[in-house]
Amino acid sequence: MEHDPVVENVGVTYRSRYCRWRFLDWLCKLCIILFKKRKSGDPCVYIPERIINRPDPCIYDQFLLMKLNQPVTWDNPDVAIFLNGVEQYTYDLTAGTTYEVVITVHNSSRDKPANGTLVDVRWIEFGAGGQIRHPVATLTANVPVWPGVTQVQTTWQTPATPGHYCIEVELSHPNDGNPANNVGWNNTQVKAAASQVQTPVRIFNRWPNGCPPVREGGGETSLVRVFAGWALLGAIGAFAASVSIGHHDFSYRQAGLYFLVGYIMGALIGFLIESLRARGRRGNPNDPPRQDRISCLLVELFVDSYVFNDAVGKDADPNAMFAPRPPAWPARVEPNVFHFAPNEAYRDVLLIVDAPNEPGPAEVFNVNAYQSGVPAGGVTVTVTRPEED
Amino acid sequence: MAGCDTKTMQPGNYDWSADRITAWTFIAAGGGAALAILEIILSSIPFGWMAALAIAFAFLAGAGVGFWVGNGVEWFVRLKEQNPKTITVSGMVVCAGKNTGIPPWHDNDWTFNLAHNKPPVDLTLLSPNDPGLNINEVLTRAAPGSGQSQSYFSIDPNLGNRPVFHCEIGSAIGDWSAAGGAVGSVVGTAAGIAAGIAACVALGIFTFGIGAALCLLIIAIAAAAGAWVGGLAGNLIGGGIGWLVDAFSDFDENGKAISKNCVMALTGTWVTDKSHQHNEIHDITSAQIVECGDAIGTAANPQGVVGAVGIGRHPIGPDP
Repeated sequence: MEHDPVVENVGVTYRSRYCRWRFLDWLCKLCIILFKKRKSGDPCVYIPERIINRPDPCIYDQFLLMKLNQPVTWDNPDVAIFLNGVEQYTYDLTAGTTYEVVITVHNSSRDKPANGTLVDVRWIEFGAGGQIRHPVATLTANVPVWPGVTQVQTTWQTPATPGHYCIEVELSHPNDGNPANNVGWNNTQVKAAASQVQTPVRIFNRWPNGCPPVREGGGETSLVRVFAGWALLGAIGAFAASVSIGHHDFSYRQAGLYFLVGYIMGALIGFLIESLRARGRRGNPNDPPRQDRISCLLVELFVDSYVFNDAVGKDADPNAMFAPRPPAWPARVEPNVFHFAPNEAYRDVLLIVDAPNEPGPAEVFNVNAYQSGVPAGGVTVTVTRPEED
Repeated sequence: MAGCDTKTMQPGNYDWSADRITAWTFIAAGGGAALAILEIILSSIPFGWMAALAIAFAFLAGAGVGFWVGNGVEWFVRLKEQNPKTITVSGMVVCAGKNTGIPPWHDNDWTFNLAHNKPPVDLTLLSPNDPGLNINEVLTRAAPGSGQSQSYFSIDPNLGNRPVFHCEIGSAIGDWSAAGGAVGSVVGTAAGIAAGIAACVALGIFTFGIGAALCLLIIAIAAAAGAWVGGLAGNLIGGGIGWLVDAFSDFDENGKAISKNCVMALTGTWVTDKSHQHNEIHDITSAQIVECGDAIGTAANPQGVVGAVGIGRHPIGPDP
């Protein structure tokens, strides 16, 4: 693709040319700053390097894509599990077995490599919204600039008790340019087709201890104003009064006592005034009451048969990559909307697929969960059919 | 270069800080005048045109201190951090500019207005994934301690009052000039009073009656001059230091130039700006270009472009 003329590097390094003596470095820099014309970028606006040029390690992040109203798969293209070098279906792992987990880390920055990216690998109980994370490993990845990728791998021994597991990968970098694309899940299951496939999906309550309070608005009781303002005012006033009252028999001890008492009285009165003032600053009486908030216990579930077509650069077409695909066969989640009861830890919902009886290829069904209007997780269930002759 | 303008929708008050600084100015001016009147009464100075002038100049001196100190205080208390503190949003930049000029009229911040609604893309909250936190909350939730029950939508008056989300990269010029102005006015006032007293002593008119009135007038004039000149000088010196701080912090100038119609992901501190009673990102700690130019505007799925770039697939734009 052609280089977009709107975006251009405008940096020029003078320091290496002129500032060769480190002990005079700051003076040299000052001279250059004062006498060199700075970049302004007009009619564009020039943005400093510390803001605009940062590494951005990233992964296929379902939560980012759901926020952008794009369809997702929970069969993460950037997470693979191997046994003796053979890639495994992640829905069908054997208990107490050691697997290799391979993670592909991308870097969205074209300018800065994401060296030293930490890759936290964890497993979560199968389902959506699980909050109990079991660490598997913390790895380090040095990711070159886009389109370079780095693969990191670790071993993972599955728990001794059989079950299904979700692998969670979280990236972190101290200079990350975009912290919104760092969490990817791999959460899959396979069911053999019958006339009607029913599989439970566990939806975990992200806030089982109740909705977190929304910290917002209102006034503040400023202790700075109380102790550095009102209290000092009281102390100075009392001191001045003591000097005036004891004009002829002024003593330092008496003045100091007046000062101290004045400070304490000023602080008490100031705290009262500031508290009342804060109460009175709750907002504009013309403000309409807020009724647009979504309950944190509300869960909404959606099902589709979207399949991610991975491609990079010129080959990546967002229309094809994120083309919505409704359920391939009649499918529903029951219930698809519900409220968690207070202190309810999870609820099992049922994915019901009316699969055709005749042989044919498998189909995938993605169950995507939102709690309180924000992405909570999901699973991808593959429904297999007998192969055609 | 001009910054990006906004106006706060009613009942929000775009000029909240300006009103407060005006109050500071007049309250301090009244205090200055009251001090002069008190001195006239306590020293039994005859009330004539000289005493009246002294009161007027004391009023001006108080106004100077009030203006510069008020400007400094309001500058540093205007931004109230939200909870969560850091957010990332994506959207189309419909205005990009730098508020270049002499402080305090220009803070020299880098300013951006992101369109609230498409075309081509909706303003979207990308992180964090907190309960109930969506873009409407980002725009309207008042920060703790802001003294507001809610924040108000902003519009860009230069774009037909299009609803926008205002974001800024803070310049050190604003901080240093505000602090410099406050310190300069206080120091200038004190120096003015000291100089006035010294002049009275030197002239031998530090006495009763008309001499005291003349002396009070000299002190008031010197204090007024010190307050305003000191404030202005402190403001300019602070601005100069801030300019150097900015220049040192981006010495190599390896940044990038962007213009309007770039789709960007911006990460930074989510605040309520009390001075305009709206919410914004201030400071932006990271700005990421998703795509610039017409390509995204003509894309059938512009949000898909944002998503594809976000997961490292870069569907369009300058491939290396």
